[in-house]
Amino acid sequence: MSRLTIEDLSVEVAATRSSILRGVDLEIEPGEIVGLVGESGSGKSMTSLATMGILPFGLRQTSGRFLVDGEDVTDQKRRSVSSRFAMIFQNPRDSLNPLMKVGEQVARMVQLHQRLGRAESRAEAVRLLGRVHIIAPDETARKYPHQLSGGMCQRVMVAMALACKPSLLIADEPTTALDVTVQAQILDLIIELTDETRCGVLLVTHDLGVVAETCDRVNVLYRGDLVESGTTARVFADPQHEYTRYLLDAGRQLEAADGAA
Amino acid sequence: MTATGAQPPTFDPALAALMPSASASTAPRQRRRRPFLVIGASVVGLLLVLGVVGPFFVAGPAEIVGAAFQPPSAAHLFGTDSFGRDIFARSVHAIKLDLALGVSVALLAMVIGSAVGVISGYIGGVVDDVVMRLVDILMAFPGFILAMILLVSIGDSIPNLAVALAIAQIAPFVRLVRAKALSERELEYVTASRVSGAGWLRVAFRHVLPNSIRPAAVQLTLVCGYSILNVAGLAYLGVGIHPPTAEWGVMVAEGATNMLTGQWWTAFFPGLMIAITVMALHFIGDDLAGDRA
Repeated sequence: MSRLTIEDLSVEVAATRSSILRGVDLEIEPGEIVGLVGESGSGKSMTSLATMGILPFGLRQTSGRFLVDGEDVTDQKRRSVSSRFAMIFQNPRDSLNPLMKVGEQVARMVQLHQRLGRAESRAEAVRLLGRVHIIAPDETARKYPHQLSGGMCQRVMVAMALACKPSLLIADEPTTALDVTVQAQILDLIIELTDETRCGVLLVTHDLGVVAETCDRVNVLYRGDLVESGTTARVFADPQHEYTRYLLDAGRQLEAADGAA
Repeated sequence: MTATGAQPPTFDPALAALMPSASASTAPRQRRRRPFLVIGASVVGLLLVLGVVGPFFVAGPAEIVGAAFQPPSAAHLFGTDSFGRDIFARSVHAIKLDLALGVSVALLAMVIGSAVGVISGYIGGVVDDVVMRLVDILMAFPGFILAMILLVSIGDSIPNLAVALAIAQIAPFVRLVRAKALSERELEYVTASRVSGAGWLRVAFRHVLPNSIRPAAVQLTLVCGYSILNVAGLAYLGVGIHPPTAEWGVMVAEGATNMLTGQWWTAFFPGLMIAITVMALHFIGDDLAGDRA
């Protein structure tokens, strides 16, 4: 049974009625990483926010159904909590409250989602920090976000996501703000944990390299329309839509330019 | 594997990236010289001690110690007033009331203003529009006049004086916290806490407010000073605190009539107390305002 099914999702600006997403369909199986790619403004982030049920002020969802583990959660308030969604963001430093120790932030998430007591949640938080391969999790738990590197912060975010025991992890450009070596480690971590927990992952990115390395399937968004979807291998080898071909070509031209230089 | 002689350290990229970076965690914090903070805080501290301990050592606030209009001398540091009361003693008795009023007015204005500001900034939209127009109305009146009108309409007493002055000082707190909340709410940790299921009240007060309160903390010390001035000003006009209460503003008002006839000390020393206190509070505020690195 799929972890997440999105059917016919449409979003528009409430004031001007100009549409942002038109009839997007998505499906994510357990243990599967699904890529969502497209240029800036194509609606990638809006898809993930709409799924979470936290569209920004002024935007309105006009149609769409969400099923999580086969259950229809479209009309649920606080959809993100009840259906065990977790999210990691582009800029790891901004994703943590600068005035709270990181251990405390993970522990809060544990408390909220696993209904453990205070002391137990703290212990669990430290365990989770260790699980995302942070060395000396005990010590790190007592630090503030500004004392950690970007990669470390992103690991803390992954630990917070794990604390939710998610059915679905939405990663919105999780590696864009990180340097290449750290990028690879974070992606490896996401792959490892996806295999382990059998959750589904929606990976929003504009980096086709990231998609090629991590995603099982990929969806291409262009100006609010889902123009192509299929297995990563198929889409890369045999793109059907003109825009996908254009996107892949753009990537290859960059590589060629790099090679020539 | 054993290390023999001077070998270059082995590089393990996976390990290297996992280590907390040295510069981020172990560098000692630069200590900055903060003369203004030191001066301001010492003066306020001294005043507090004097205000608490002083009354036990000086004459009572209404006690007649001798002839009227004695100029400053060793026996009467600040001289005596038209009733023959010791002005130094009265000034010391007044510290408690003046500081308490200043602090409580500033705190009250900060609590109300910050709460309104963070809600306005975080929710935005119509709520924000309405709140900001109300703030505009508040700002349209000079704070002093507004406090006077309020005080007269809700009744002339010391608690009411604090409330009236606080209401007159809410506007800057609302605007400062709202402005910071507007930028803070766009950061991803706010979205993250919404995703994790925190309700809007929790997000606003637990996450956005602590990160938006800093400019208000600076304003707090400034308003503390303004409020002491305002209390004195209102007392001078005959609203709020009345003679024979020992309060600096009242004493300046009483003494002002003697200035022309040469007994300058009756108004000068209470005025000096006001000036020193307000200046010390502003020194603290200035230092906090500059510390934004």
